[in-house]
Amino acid sequence: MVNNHDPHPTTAREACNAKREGATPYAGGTDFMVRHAKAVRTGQCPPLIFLDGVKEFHGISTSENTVRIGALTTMAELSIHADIPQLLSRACNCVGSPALRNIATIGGNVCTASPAGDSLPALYVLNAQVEICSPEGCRLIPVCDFITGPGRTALEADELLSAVILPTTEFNKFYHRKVSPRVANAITKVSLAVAATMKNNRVEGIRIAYGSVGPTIIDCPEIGATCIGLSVAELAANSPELMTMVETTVKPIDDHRSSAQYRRSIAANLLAECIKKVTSTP
Amino acid sequence: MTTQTSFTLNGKPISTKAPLDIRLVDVLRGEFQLTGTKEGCGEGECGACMVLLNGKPTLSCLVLLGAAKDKDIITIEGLRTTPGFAILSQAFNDAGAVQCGFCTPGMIMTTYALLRDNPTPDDDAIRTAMAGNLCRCTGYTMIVEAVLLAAERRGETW
Repeated sequence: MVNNHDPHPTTAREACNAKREGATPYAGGTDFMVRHAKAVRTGQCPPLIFLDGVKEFHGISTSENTVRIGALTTMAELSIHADIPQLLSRACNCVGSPALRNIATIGGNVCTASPAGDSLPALYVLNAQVEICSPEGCRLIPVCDFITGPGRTALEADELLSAVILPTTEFNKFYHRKVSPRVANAITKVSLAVAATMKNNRVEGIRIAYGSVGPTIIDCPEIGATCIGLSVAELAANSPELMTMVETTVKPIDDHRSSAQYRRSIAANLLAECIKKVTSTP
Repeated sequence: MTTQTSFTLNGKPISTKAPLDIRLVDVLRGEFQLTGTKEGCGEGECGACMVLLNGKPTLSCLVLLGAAKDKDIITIEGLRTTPGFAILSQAFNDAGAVQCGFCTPGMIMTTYALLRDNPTPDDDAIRTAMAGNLCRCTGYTMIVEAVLLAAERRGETW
């Protein structure tokens, strides 16, 4: 494919047109560099567009009902920004190591669409949407519809992810835990993100999502529905039943990082830990 | 993808005709002969290739030249002429934090940025900041001690 595009576009339209012509988008590069290590070594990289110069892809802006996170916002920025819900900050702070988080972007984490993508379970439970731009304009879709399979997204050939949009949340309880062999630079074996609205000691709303235990993030609406209306004491009493539901809901596989059986029991244990934390803190 | 790429390297504006799709670590070590920046794992796991990109610790094996355009890059050679370097180097020596030395430039870059942003880090903060810098010789305790020592001695140096 012949490419006459500017490798450093400054507008979203320019970047989308270059992508349509076959150029590969480069954001933080942390996944790209590992996945294309051989091509980089041998000078066989596909034609690239470095997205850094596109202003629309940068910055966090807060309005009355939403927080717009530009796709090029780094994990390090998300970890400390005051307008980012604590659940997402904590999830983003689990990615790689500090230096990696200085360049890894939220847009990259979403578009890589790995079942182990550390920001994803948090984005699912916070009902995030993604803003997708093309030369024709922008569209918004829920992140759970954007990711269509492991490494697959709903992006068309001339489209780029321009931002992640978080609705203002009413959740008042959060839980996040990543299980990995070491704290830094380790791919997640199992992760759990939970956001809940507790009112008068009862569960009014709850979202539960697991990472790394299925081909994509495992959203658990049935488990959530079972929790709705339960008092804190009832939630604790129902913990064993909810753990059994987790074991049948998650779809882990055996691979070189873990066995399916290990992942299944850890997934259930994480929900038990979450319930314990929610019911023991005021 | 050959074009002219300009950036600031150790305080000096420079430009290179190297392809945009070669790694920053290769440009630094090859074209600019700045071999203090090491390549360990080549996949962002070990921190031996750490440089400061716009002031932030960055793994130069994970950055293509095209992404360095118009950025401010400091390597270990750029730190060497600063008074801070003498303090860091002495602290690493005094604490016995250097054995084979391969990880040391990366460790120093991370330490420099850590102490700039947090002048009095505790053990936890140091271990968190250094989590992406691997050392296969010292066992880390001496490196943490070196950082504490440098924090004690640095005053207002940087």
